[in-house]
Amino acid sequence: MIISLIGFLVLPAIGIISLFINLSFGGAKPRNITIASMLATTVLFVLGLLLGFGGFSVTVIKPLDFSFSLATNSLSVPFLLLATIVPLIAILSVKRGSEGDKTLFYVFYLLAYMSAILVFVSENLILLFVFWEVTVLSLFFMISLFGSGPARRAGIKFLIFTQFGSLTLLGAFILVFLYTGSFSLSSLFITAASIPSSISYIIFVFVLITAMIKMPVFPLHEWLPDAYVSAPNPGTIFLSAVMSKLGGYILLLFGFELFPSVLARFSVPLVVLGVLTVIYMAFAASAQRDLKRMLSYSSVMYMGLIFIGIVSVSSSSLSAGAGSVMLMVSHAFVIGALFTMSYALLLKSGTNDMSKLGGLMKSMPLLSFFFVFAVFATLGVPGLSNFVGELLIFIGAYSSFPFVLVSLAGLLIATNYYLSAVKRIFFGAMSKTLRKVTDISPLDVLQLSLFSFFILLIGLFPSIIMNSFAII
Amino acid sequence: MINAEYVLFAGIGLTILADLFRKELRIDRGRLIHAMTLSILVIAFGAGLIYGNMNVQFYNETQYSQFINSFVLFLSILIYSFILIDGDETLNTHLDILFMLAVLGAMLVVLSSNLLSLAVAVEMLSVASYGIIYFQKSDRHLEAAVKYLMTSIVSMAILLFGISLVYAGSGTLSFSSLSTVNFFPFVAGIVFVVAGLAFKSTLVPFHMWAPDVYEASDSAVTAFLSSISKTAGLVALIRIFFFAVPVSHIISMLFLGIALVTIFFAAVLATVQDRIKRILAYSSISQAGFAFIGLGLLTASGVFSSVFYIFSFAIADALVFLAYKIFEDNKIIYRKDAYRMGAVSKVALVGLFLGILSLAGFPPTVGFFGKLLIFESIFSSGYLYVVVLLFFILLFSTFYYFGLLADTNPVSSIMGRKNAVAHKSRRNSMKEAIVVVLILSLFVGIIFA
Amino acid sequence: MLFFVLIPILASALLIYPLKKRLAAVTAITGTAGSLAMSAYYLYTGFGKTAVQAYTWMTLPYHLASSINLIAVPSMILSVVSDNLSLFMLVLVSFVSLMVLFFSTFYMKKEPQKRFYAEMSFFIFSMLGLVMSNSLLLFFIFWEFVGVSSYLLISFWYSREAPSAAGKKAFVITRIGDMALLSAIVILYSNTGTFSLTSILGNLQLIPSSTLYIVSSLVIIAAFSKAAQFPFYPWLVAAMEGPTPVSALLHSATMVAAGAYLSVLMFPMLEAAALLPVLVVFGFITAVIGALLGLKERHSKRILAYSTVESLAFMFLAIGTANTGGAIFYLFAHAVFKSMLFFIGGVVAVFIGTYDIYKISTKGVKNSWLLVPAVIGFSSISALPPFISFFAHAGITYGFGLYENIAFVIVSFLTALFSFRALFVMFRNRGKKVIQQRSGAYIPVYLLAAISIFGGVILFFFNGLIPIAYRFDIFSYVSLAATLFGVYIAWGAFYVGRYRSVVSRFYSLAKKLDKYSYDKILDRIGRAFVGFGKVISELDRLLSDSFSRMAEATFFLSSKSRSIENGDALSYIDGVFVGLVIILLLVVVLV
Repeated sequence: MIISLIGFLVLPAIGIISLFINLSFGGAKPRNITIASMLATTVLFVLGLLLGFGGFSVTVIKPLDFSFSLATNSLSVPFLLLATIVPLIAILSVKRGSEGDKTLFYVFYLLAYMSAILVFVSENLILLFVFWEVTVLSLFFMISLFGSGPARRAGIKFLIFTQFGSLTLLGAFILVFLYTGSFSLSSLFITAASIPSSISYIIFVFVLITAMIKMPVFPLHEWLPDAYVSAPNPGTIFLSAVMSKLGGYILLLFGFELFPSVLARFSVPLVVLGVLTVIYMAFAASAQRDLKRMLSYSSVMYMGLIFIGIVSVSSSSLSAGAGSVMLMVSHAFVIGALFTMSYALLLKSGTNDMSKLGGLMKSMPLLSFFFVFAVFATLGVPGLSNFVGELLIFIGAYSSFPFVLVSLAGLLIATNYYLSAVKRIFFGAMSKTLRKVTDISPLDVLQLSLFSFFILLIGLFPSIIMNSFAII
Repeated sequence: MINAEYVLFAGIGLTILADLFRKELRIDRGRLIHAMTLSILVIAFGAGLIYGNMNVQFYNETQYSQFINSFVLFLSILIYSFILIDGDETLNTHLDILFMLAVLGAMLVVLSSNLLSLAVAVEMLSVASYGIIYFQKSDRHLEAAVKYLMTSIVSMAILLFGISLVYAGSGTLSFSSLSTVNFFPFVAGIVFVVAGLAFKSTLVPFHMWAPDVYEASDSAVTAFLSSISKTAGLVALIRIFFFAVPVSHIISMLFLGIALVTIFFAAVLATVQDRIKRILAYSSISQAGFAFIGLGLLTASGVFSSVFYIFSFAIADALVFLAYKIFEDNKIIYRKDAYRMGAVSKVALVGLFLGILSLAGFPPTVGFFGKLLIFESIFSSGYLYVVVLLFFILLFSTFYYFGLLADTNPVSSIMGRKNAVAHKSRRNSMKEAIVVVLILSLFVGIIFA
Repeated sequence: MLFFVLIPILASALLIYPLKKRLAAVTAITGTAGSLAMSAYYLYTGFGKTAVQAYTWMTLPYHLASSINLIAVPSMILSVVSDNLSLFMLVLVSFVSLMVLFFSTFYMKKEPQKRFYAEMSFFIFSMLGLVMSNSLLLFFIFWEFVGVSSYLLISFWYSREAPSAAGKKAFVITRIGDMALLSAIVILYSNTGTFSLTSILGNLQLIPSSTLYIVSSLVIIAAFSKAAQFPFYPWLVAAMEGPTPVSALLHSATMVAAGAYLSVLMFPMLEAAALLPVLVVFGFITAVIGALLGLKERHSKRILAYSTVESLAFMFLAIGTANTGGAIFYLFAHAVFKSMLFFIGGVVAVFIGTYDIYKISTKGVKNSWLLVPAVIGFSSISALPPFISFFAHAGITYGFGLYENIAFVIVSFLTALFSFRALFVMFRNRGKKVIQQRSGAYIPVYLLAAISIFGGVILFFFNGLIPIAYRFDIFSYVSLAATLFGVYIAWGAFYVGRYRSVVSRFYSLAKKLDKYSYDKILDRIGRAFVGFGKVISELDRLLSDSFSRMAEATFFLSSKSRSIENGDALSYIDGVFVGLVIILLLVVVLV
């Protein structure tokens, strides 16, 4: 028995429909419906891991080669892991706050959840693009309608930037279709070589722009801090943990797997750009006073590392690509945990401004424990998840681009600002206004334990992830 | 052969007679006539599907004309029923005749294979349109009708002058035998013809009447103007330039330029509008520019994608204007009022929402596939920089479309359980039913790609 | 089966959750005692043998087209080695740790038990793992663990500003070394395709000499940062804010020793890169700085910290003169007497309530049981015979040339001066308060004191365990004389009270120089970095705003062009004509 991938569409769709039915008839909490639906999807994923995934294909428009076909490729599984599990854990924390009990929020969340999963298993490029756009759209509405602060502006900015990236992606897909006559990803693996080199350059540049906006990488990251800060917390986690990985996925696919020779031609400036991103974001993060904003910049910093890994992968050093996948999976869990905690902190203490916090370890020992744990994970302490990815990226990239080691300075600065954050928030004397702050609820503990569990699991047994995919 | 056009023609005659009888018999209620009109349109639609269009001298079928005329009829049926439901008992029966005339005119424009017949068909469409705009007598509609009339007459004059120049230049008016005999008059004539038709298709710089007229007309009529009337103009341009006139690369570039300017200009202007309908009007203009790109490429795939694009935006435009009509009736005019939309009608809001998504080209709506095809044909023609320019220009449209969507604030409205303003009536739900049909066609339409 | 030595991690894991508070100390001590027993047993059975156990952490799966040939399939192999060196280190680390844990039962009685012992156990586990790793990867893993646990322990009293700042400082500064080590590992791996220390050191000739040079420099940076050598030493002094048992552990056999141990392990490479003189030069610089700074310090633990900095410098001197055995023996000696001295400082602080040696002096502790161990300890620092470090110095100085020897004589003098200053000041007066003899305090102190007295003899048998060369030559005795001279001066200045004006002038000078202290320069560098971050962040805001500006410009543009559409139909007709003319002209011109 194998698990058909269509389940990833059906189960969340059932969730969405039941949310609407519930709105008119039932009295169940939308949150529970969402969690149930996502849980079912996760179970499906686990079953699929055990039993194997089965493809699904229905032709919709023959002349355009648009078929609704789903299949796993060599990269899918680790991305499925992060796309199914991280949003599920992230949604557990929603109790009160701006998103509250709004059905529509959950509809968008489920929609984004479903489409992000399906992006990773879409076999048809048009289908991939469809889900890609649905993800963007649901996140746009999540930010604009449920965000805080200047959410409308942030949402529009996010949309404009990512929309440009989507258009270039569409352009790349169309070019692929024109020169291979097919939108099928699996046939593209065979026919990619027949695309004329000038065209493959254009395709690569288009996909590169998409990825650079989505991940994001240095000059195209302007949408990010606003969007991350304004989005409601599960939305922020979704953006940082899952959506940014869409960019990595597509770049890995179109970079090394399809057009390795083009990538090789561009790799030096791109690696330089990655290093620049790391350093730049590290400095930018170190000047932030707001915890969530700092985490946002820090998230970009790690995406810069991932970018280095992706663009420096070559046939002689595949480990950089493998490392970037590892780091993407790991980063999803780590940044998810960190954003969760910044949200919990905001709810409990009323502020995310680090200069107003202090000494919270006394009243929030559990949160402090998890926070320090996640900080060490993000700093790449071995045994926790980020380390293996970083190590592999550096090992892989070093042989061709020795200067990548410069980006270790970024990690050094990250050490400084993360520890400063720990010191400012949790250490030191507690100010009087924070006396009444209580520790996180059991639900939060559950959520953070789940994140930590995966961080430890990946950190200690990286081969679990490592054996689940292949860089071809 | 019972072609759609014959059915309509006969229907118009019958309706006029029936109306006369009705008046003679002093039957006040025009319901019978309305029902008759509707059934004529439906029969014509069926006839068009089964038997195709008429194929005589001056009016020839082309590869795409059946498709276009079918969806023109389809949309006409929906728009007409909408007007019917919307209008009260006193709905003037003249409307029926005018509407059918306009539809017939539009269909004939699509079929025309001769510049003369084209001019006649365009005139037929225009004249009927003036009446339709003013069918509900109010100052606002009068203003719209007059503006439309004034500008339209000028453009008709330009068109006719152009046709005469073409005749001077080539000695014939038949599309199949147009050729340059006398260079200058021919080229000048063609330019005039383009200008005349571009007026109908609202291409920059001949678009200026459109926002005013669209805004001042009844929204259902705007739906007609922006979908069917515009379709006719664009298809006529396709017919002339793809099948008749030998065009050089430079003309093609010029067309692309016009298209890009149209898209850009409309998008930029739409961003600052505060009246919802005006935004929709500019979006409609911008869509025409998009469809014109496919024509500008002058390749088979370009024309094909253009035709499909016309189809896609005609549906979406009809949808958004009809949906907006429901809001307009509830005094939602400005963007700042948009948050009340959900309270008025959830179905209409969803319709507007999806319609705008389709116009913005978001998958999996028909608009996305339209844009996909357009992009594909640009790529296959090798105009890479056009694509890149379009990417940037499209950001503007993303900006205003989604600004509007976010304004509608679906959180409190779709999800709110209470309908504060709503006066639920059968009439409203019937309107909503039409909107639903259009929403469905927004998704089903992709099979024609 | 060497992994069994790592049982403290179990203790640590148990302490995080299920165990009761009062069992905490017992659990931790049991764990460490277990590793001591186990490592002693392994040392006994595995004496003279070398065994490597490897465990593949993960491999990269490849589904490759056959056309692409691979250089190396990266597989991450973690391996541990049991040879004399690692086994001896295991015994040493677990023994000293055990002593520290004993002492903690006395010192940390009133503190949160579970957290402390969990972190301590984790610290001990990390150090045990570090000394037995044979794969650089595993070494790095434990190296980081050591850093993390030291951070947690130094900032144990998190609610006070100073310890949390000190913990951060320690971690950030040592992190520089961590990154250097990581770079070195990455470079070595890409050149040799392996993480295994034995294979890397066996294949040094494969590595280009320039690369070797860079890698060796990186390793030296890593070692210096962990071992608190110049220019990285300030973290160690700041780290004195942590609990005293932590300082004792940090200073004796764990954290700082890790740096020296790394250099010992990588010695063949450093030698091949011809970078040994660097170690010597920096060793002397650090030793002099440590001694001078120790001389002006009033805080007893910080004096010991500077002494540690200096002692570590001695180890690097030994390594730099190609006598790794001497370094290891000194490491052993230092671990013994330094932990004892920290215990003494801790006991004094518990009963007297201060670490300030002058305040201790006024309250008086001369008549306590601590006097004898303190004399032993401080004499050990100064390498007076017959204490252990007199013999250890013989190992250090073995490879010295003339200049090194002369420098060492000066350093010996300074060492004696500053260490005996501390002793004399602290123990000058008799006090009223009785310093009680608690078993948690005096057992480890006496035990370590005994080793300090008699341990020197081990030097003569040490060669069987780890190759060591030692020599008692003329300079040994010159150094001894310098030391005695230093003791005499210290006695005169700080016990009897002569040369008062000189001393006070020295203190005021030191106070003045404090303004330019290295710590403050470091802080300023740190602040400069944050300032640069602010600049970047401001830049980012501008960049981000520039897109909003562009959007605003569009708004402006479109609101201007809006006036074209003024609602006047006649002007529209004008527009039509204008457009027509333009197009016509264009066509005519172009066609």
